Amino acid sequence: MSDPLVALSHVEAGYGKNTVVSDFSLTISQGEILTLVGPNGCGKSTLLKTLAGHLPPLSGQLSLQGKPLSGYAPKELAKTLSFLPQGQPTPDIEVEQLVYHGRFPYLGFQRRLSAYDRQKAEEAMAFTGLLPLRHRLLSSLSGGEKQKAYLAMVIAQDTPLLLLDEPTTYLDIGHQFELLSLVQTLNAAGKTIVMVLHDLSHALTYSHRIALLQQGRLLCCQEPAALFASGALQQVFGVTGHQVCRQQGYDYYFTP
Amino acid sequence: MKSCKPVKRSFLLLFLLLLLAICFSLFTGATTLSWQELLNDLASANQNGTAYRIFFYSRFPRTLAAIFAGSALAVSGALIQAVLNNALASPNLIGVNAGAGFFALLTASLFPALPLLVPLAAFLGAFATTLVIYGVASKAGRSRITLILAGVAISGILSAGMDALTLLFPDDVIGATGFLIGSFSGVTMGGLFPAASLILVGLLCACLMGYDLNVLALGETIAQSLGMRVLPLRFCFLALASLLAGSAVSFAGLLGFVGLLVPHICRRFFGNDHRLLLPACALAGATLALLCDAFGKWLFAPFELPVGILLSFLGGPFFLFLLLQRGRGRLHE
Repeated sequence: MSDPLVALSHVEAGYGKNTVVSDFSLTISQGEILTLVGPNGCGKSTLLKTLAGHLPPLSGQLSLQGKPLSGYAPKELAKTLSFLPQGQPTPDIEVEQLVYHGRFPYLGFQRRLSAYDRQKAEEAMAFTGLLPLRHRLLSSLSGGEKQKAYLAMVIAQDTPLLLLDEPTTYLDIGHQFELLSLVQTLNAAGKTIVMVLHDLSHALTYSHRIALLQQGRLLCCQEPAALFASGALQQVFGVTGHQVCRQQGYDYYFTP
Repeated sequence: MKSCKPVKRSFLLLFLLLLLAICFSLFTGATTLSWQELLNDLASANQNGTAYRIFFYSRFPRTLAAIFAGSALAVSGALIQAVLNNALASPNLIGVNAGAGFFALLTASLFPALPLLVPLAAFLGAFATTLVIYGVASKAGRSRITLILAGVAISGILSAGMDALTLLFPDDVIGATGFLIGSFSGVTMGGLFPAASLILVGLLCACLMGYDLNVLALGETIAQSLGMRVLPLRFCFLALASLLAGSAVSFAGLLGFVGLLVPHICRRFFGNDHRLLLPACALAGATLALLCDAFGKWLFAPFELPVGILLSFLGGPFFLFLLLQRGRGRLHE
């Protein structure tokens, strides 16, 4: 966790004249898991879309690996960061084909997959445990399996930075833990992760740092234990937080 | 991608069916034409022979017209369905054919001495209508029915325009009835050539871009995050769909439902991989247009039923079937 991979300086983000995120400054280091949390409508997804290059910043500077994001060509950007939005479509294709699409930024004019592309897709399917499901249609998968298939596509894209927008939404608790543990393993392999989570317990357990947003502004960005101790989460969400000490760290839960 | 063997078999079957349809089309018509007479005329280089003249001045151009129009409209339909992410969309239902038809008739009326302008005007008309429909779809939300209703409204306006043109320029739009229904009768090699060249270019480009269409089917956000320039590509696909539909309409008139029927049937056999689906649509579209045209010539011979009428008899019920499937939630949303 050292070199800044992403730097945001006084960034304003939104849609047209509608500013959703204001004066947002933050650096994201290589190899960290940063989670964005905040109440509904505070601008987490808007910020993630801006980071992904899908929304141009309304003002301020946003750079990736020291280069302004606007200076990246689409394919060059897709080789540097991958973005998993919420609510993916379910086209009538097989899992394998979806994962192969993750190699799109690397394909030439003829759009032919090389042996290396196939190997990367195989690795992604093996990593997510999707090899037995590779010939299943996406429409025949459960919500958790479909989410893993899209994660495999993003992994096959093989970028140093992964942006995940609410990856655990609509998943049962078992699939939530499975997915977050995959995220942790990816991070251990050197990937930088920026994600939006609604579940504060998950955010506190699986992140290196948490950025807390309120009404489009960054309230604070701290390590989980320090953030919990500050009481900011409890104040912003109007909940009571509980910390349970375990051998390997802390567990967190929240009550009204 | 579907496994290779069944796909190869399906392509082979489709190709054989197309060959049969070509033979059926070449040797069906108001006048009986036998191989023997034709071979005799060819052997004796008798260009004034009845068989020779029927074959080369009527049957052959008509068969080529059916092949080009059928494949163009089917591929155009598959492109429009993929780009608009709407399984109910097809060039005739969303008003693309009507746009092409109106501008083709307008050009034929205003510049009767410049027939080469007609395919170009049809393409521009189809493209302009597609952009209007795309704009409506973007503004009015993603509802499939909204898009179809917008198409009905625009088709209505353009049809009124075509009716007005046939009344205002009755001498310049001879054969307008056949044009409005959709027919291959009266197509000549000279009239077919410019549009057929555009269709060949359009088909080749569409088939080469099948993989990009697969990625686009993942939705705008994911396609963009995979490094695709979504907006220019979408624009390009819509231009291709318009080029194909417009060129077909310029010589075949307002043929309906090929662009709806064929992609749906082909998806059942070739899946959703557009690298396979688009060539399959081209073959199947040509086959369907040939068969319908040949049946139209054969059913009430020596009288002819224009191909557009037969296609509407087939396509109308199929559209209702799709609507019912949608109601039952089987048509992917």
